[in-house]
Amino acid sequence: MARPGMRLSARTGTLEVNDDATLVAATLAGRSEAFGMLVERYERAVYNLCLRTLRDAEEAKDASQEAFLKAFRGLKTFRPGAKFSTWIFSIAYHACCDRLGRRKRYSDAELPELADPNPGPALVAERRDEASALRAAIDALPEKYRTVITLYHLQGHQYEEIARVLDLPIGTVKTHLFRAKEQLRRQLAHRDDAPAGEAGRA
Amino acid sequence: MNHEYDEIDRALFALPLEDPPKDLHQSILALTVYAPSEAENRAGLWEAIAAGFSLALAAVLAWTVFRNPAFGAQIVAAFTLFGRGFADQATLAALTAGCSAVAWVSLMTFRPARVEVRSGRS
Repeated sequence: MARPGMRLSARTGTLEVNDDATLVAATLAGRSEAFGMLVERYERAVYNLCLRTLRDAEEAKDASQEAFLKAFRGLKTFRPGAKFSTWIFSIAYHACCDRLGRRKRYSDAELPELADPNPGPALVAERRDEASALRAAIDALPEKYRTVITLYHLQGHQYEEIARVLDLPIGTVKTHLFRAKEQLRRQLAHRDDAPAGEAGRA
Repeated sequence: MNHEYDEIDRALFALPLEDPPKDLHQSILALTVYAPSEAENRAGLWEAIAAGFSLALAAVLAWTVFRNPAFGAQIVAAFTLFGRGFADQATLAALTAGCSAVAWVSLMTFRPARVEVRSGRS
């Protein structure tokens, strides 16, 4: 029997739902397509969170897979009142933290905290447009600011949700966000002020 | 351009999300809802049937051997042959070499491999 909020088309047998909680319930009831819908809804956002945190496309893909796998296995522990987006972002963020920790443990090299200071001419040309410049500026932020600004980008002004994902007090989130924006503003202003030729110089 | 905070907000919210790899969706589904758990269960059932069959066959063979009146003599002969092998220097040398190799390998330490969740990647 279908739960309230879940419409099961008798003719086609397809699931028509709008809210995440229903999709979670349907997945737990054995409807695999419901989890497919959840993946479809959040894979882009989760991948972007991992990509911004790890700054490596391959690792971001692996971390996204890991996050969804953990979510699938732990779906029974998902609280009905909670937001699925916060939950999956939290799992993804912790998967990224594990990877960053492993990187630090097994790599002799220090983690790069800043973007390439000597970008080639091709990279400079690519960063001309605002979106690329903003992405580059976000990449250049320290990890804690990068993650906060990415979650702010993904979740909007929901400080409480961001705090839950990162397991930080709301005040800290707001401070990180303020400082991240301050750094972004400075970097973008510096980019605008610098002559075009100067940017590519070593 | 003057990058005030509200403009940073505007730029952030206008920033398009980057596309995930094309095979990400399928690989997640392959790891989760399409993971071969049912097939594994079926394989487990067949394994149990095969083990039961092997056990029954072993029991029948053992019963046949025990019923043989010459069974005792055959066992004694087999153990004698096995014991005689230890008197052979070449056998002892091979056993020593094998044990040393096992001890050496067991003392080796390996760097832990990265835990990766990959699926369908070339």
